[in-house]
Amino acid sequence: MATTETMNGQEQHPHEMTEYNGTHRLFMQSMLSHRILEESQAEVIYEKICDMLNADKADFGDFVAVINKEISDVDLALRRTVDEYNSSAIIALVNTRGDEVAQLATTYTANEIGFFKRVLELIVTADDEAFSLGSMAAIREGPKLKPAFSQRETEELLNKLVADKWLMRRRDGYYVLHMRSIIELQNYLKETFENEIHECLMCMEIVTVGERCSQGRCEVRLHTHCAAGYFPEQDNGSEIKCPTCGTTWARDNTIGTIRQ
Amino acid sequence: MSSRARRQRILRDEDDEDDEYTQPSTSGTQRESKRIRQEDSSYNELDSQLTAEQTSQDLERKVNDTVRYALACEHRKQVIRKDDIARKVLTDRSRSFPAIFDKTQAKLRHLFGMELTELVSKEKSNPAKRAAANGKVVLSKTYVLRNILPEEQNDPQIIHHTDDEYQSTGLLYVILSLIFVNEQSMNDELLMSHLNRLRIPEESETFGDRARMLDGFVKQGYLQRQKLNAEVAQSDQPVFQYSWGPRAKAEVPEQNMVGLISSVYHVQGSELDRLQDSIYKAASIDT
Ligand SMILES: [Zn+2]
Ligand SMILES: [Zn+2]
Repeated sequence: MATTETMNGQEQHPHEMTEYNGTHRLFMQSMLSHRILEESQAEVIYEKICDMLNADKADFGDFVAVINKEISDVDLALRRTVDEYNSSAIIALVNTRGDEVAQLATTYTANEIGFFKRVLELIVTADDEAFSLGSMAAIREGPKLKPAFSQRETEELLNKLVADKWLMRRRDGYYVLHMRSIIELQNYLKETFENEIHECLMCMEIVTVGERCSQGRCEVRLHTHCAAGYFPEQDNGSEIKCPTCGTTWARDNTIGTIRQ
Repeated sequence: MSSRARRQRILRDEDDEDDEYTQPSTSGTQRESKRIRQEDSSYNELDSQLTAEQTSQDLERKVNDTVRYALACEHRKQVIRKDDIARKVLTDRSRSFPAIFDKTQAKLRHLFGMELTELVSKEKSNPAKRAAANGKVVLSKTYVLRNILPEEQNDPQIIHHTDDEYQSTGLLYVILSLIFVNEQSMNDELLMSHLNRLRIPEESETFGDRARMLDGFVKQGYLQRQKLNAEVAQSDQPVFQYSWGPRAKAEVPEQNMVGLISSVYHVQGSELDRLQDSIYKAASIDT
């Protein structure tokens, strides 16, 4: 087996950190297998790769930038964002070409995609911006389809969607969108559910877990972590207000969180 | 030098000298596209010059599409058929397959450390035909996407494999070794009785439906299943025979299989040599 340096017929120059080399290649294999990772895990993997290949460790952001420059040709990108559910930094391998849902067709049948779309709809349009779907309600959807899935098939399909990181099963048993769906299917979600999907006023990304303005007609939504950064510490006694309409902001007016 | 080449030469010389250094990559593709178009003499020269740029962009697009298609097939653990690449990806450019294929390979190696490996075709079951093939390897026009990074880089702390993958790979290796030491083929009845002895039930939590799992291995090219004709089978019931599929042959070297089987016995030295000899014999391979 040729070493990674000679695979391109190129030497690896210590001063050219921007060259796409064996570390990038192996990291791409890792991302192809994981699809989405906490950034802290991704950095551990990157360190491990550098150790293994005896390469100097670059700044992780620069390292990702080198990869993105190279893989954009094949409509792939590494995207760094924040996990809505636990506010940790994450990195995902995403398709950048349109018709995102159609790309699911590489691993799912048309009927399975039909079911997934229905589940997406039920999650996104859930009452009171709950952005979740009870497991019994999800299982009941399978037999309603044409052609119908049996209850067992529906459960298997839901498990597969969870394993593939399209859906997530919350600790209360409800299905919610996995961050992978929120990142990879964002255009589909925005276009299909124009009225239900909001973008966070702070970071402009889709928000399905966070806080909302108490003024019913105001569209302002903030991620939990974005709101925490925006609003001052509460103990100084001053009232906090919606940045757009000025209505008093109630930090407990949340969306997409577990309802008691 | 053709008149067109001369004109391009002149145009180029009028430009900055540095252009010389950026030319080779584009003129390479232009040469290819020129060759492709020579088959179609109805183009006049101006047309072909105008479309040269377009064509090389097109080719680039098709290369990227082929890369994506290969990744998608691999994700499903499906073999990649040349016909499917031509029909589903290249469509109107399917005549450019060789050029696109080479560039796709270069891109796969560069970006992901992977390459398309053409599978060896089914060996002819008929001995006369096998003799006619004269020991030559028959290629199948189907490919798998193979990891070409050094084996030690396939570290579970870096590359993620699901539990399902581990379990089904484990079972696949058991089946491959059973077939291997049974002179490279095994009928379904014997294979089923082995699986029963290993307590792998018809239907299980871990492996699911056994028949469906075997179908999967056949579809992925790891196993090959052949219906024996009634004479050979000496039975009224249809008898199927399993052997290694082209993908197993490509991905699992014989000596690795022998090493795996002999590792079960914890023997060393001359005893290990004797054991391995007998494994080769059971596999009816001359050593
Ligand atoms: Zn935000
Ligand atoms: Zn407001």
